[in-house]
Amino acid sequence: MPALLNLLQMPVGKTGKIVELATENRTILKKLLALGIVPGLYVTLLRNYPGIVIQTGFTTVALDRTAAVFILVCPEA
Amino acid sequence: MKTIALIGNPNVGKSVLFYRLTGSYATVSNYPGTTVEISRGRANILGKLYTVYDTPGMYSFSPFTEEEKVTRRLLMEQSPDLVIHVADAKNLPRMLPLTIELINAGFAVILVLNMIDEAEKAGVYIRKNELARRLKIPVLEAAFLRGRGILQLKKAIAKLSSGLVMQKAQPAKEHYLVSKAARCLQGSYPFSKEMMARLCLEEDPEAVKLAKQQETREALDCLAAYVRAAGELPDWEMPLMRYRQAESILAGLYLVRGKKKKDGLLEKATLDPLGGLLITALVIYFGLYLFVGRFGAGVLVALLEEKILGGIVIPAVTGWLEKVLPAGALLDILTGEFGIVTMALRYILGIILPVTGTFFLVFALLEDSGYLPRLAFFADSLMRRIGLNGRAVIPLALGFGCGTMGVLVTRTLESRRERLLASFLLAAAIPCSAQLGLIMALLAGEPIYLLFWALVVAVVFFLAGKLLDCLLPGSRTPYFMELPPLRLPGLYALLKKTFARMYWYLKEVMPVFTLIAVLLWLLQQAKLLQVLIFFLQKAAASLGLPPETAGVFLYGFFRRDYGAAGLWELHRTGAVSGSRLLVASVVLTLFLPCSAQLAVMVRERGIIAALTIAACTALIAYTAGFLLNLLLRLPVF
Repeated sequence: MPALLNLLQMPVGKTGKIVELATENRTILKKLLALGIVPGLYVTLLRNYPGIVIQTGFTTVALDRTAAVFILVCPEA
Repeated sequence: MKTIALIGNPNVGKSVLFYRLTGSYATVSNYPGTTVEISRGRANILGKLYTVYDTPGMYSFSPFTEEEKVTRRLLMEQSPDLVIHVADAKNLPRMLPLTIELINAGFAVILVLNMIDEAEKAGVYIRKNELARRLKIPVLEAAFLRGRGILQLKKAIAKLSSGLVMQKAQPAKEHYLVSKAARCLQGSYPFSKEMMARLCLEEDPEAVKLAKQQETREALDCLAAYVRAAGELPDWEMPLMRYRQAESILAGLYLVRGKKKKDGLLEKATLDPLGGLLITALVIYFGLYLFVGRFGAGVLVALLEEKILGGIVIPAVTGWLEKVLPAGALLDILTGEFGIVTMALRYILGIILPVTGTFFLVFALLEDSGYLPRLAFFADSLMRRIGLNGRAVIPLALGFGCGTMGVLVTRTLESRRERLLASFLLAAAIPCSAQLGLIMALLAGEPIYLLFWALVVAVVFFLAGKLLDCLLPGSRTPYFMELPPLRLPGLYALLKKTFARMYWYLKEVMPVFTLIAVLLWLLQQAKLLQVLIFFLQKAAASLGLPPETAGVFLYGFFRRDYGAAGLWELHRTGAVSGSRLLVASVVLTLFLPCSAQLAVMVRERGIIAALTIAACTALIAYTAGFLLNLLLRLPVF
C-alpha cells in the first residue's frame, strides 16, 4: 500500500482517495465536510501555487495551505 | 397563502428560478454568494397564488457564514409549506445530503436537478424516476436559464399543494444519539424533533436557545447527557453518516459516461498568477479605464450633461417652471443654486448615471463569466497580509460598484472580525464607481497624477488593513471557495442585470438628492450654510485647496458620487487643476462613507462600529491630503 500524503506533498495532476481529515479544528473540519470533501472521495490536485486547487467530480475547490495540509490522501498508482 | 422557499447550495440557480416564478428580478451571477438577502415575491402557479422566498445559498443545516444563517433563520421562522431544493445536476452526489437534511427536518420537498443541460454535455445521466422512488419526493430535471422544466415544476407544486397539508416523505435514519436525544424533546419546533436534537448535539446556539425556551428542566438534563456523549464522538462521524446515506440512495442512479474533458486554456490561465495578472490588467485597462473612465465618464457625460441636459432640457424646464411658479421657496428649491432640477437632476442623470451604468455593465460581465472567484483565489496571498482571505475580494470588488452593496456582501465572510475589517476598508479606501470613473476621467489628462492617485489609495488600503489586523484580536480564517466553471455570459442577462442595478441605484439616490436640495436650501436660509462653508474652506485651505472645493466636500458628506460630480464640475469651470486636483481627488476618495453606506454599516455592524469607522476615515482622508499636499510642494515636483 502506498504511503499517505497530504495535499501539499502530492504532485500536481495526481489523483488520490481521501483517507483522513487529520485535524482537531472544528471550523476547518465542518467546512470541508460541508463542501463535500469527505473521506472516501477521489480528488485530483490541479494546482499547488499560489493556492491549492482540487477537483472532485465536477466541482473545483480552492483552499489554502493551512487546510490542505490536513487532507490525507492515498495516491492512485 | 401557501409559502415556498427556494433552497440550495450557492450558485445553483435559485435566483433564476425565483425570477421565472415571480417575475421579479433578483441579481443572478456566476459565483457563490450573489444572494445575501431573502427576496420575497408572489407567484401565480396554475391559478393559485403563492409566496415565494429566494434565499442565500446554504450547504447544510449547520451554517458557518452569515448568509447561511439568514437562510436557516427563514426556514425556522417562516416554516415554508414547501421547499424546492435546487441542485446542480452534475454535482448531485455533493448536493443530495442537503435534500436528506430537508426531508429529515420535516419539510415537504421537491428536488430539482437544475443545469441538466450542462450535466448532459458532461456525460452525466441521472435515473431521476428511480431517485424519486427512493427518496419518496418528486424529482424533476430543469435548465431554468433556458426556461426548461418550469412547467413541470409548476405542475408538481400544484399537485403537492392540492391537499390540505403537503405530503411529506419518510425521513432517513438518523444517528442513534440523535434519535435518542430527540426523545427527550417535548416542545413544538419549526423543525422535526430529530433535526432539533441534532442541532442541539452540535451545540448550535440558535437551536439551544429555542430548546431552553421550550423544554422543562428534566428534558434539558436528558438532552445534556446526549450532548456530552456526542462530544466524545469524532466531529466527522455524523456528517459522514449523512454522506454515506446519500451515497447509498444514489447508488447506481448517477452515471458518468465518456472521458472527462480537460480544462481549457482560459480556465488554466485564470488560475495562474501570471495569467491572472495579465487578465486583471486587461480588465482594468479596457473595462475600467477605457470603457468606464474615457467612454462613460468622458464621452457619455459630455454628451448628456453638456449637450442634452445642460443645453436643452434644463434651460427649458427651468424656464417653464419660472413661468408657472411664483417666486419663492418652492421655485428656489427647484431651480436655485442647489435646486432639484438645476443641480440634482443634472448630477444624477448627466454625470453619475452614465458612469455607474457603464461600470455596472463591465461588472456584470465579470460576475457572469465566473472571473471573480478566480480573482479571489489568486488575491488570497495578498489579502492574507491584512488579515483577510481571498473571499473578501468579492465584497471589496462589489464596493467599487457601490459601497452599500459591498457592505451587504461582507455577509459572505466567516468571522465578525473579517466582516469588520472589510467594512472598514470599503469605507476608507474603496472608491465607488462614480468616484472611480470621474476621477479617472479628470486625471486622464495627466496620467502621472492618475498613477499617483492609485498609489496613494493603494498604500492607504494596505496600511489601514495592516494596522487594523494588528489591532483587532483574533486571526484570519482559512480560505475555501468553490470555483464555478467559466461561462460565456448572455447579452440579454447582462443588460437585464445592468438595468436592474441602474434602476435600484436611481431609486436609492433620488430621494437622497431631493433631501440634500431641501436641506442645503434650509441651511442657506438660516445662514448656517455660510458658517459651514467657512470652516470647510479653512480645512480645504490647509490642504492647499481653493475655497470652491468646500462645497464639494459638503456634498461628499451626503453622497460620495455627489461629491465626485461636484469635483468634476469644478474642474470644468477651471477652479481646480493640476496637483490640486490630485489632492482633492485623494481626499474625496478616502473621505467619509456616504450616508447610504453609513446606514447599511449601522445596520450590519452596529452604531458604535459604524461611527468609529466613519471618524477614522475622515481622519485618514485629511491626513493623507495634508501629507500629499506637503509632498507635492517639494521643489522636485
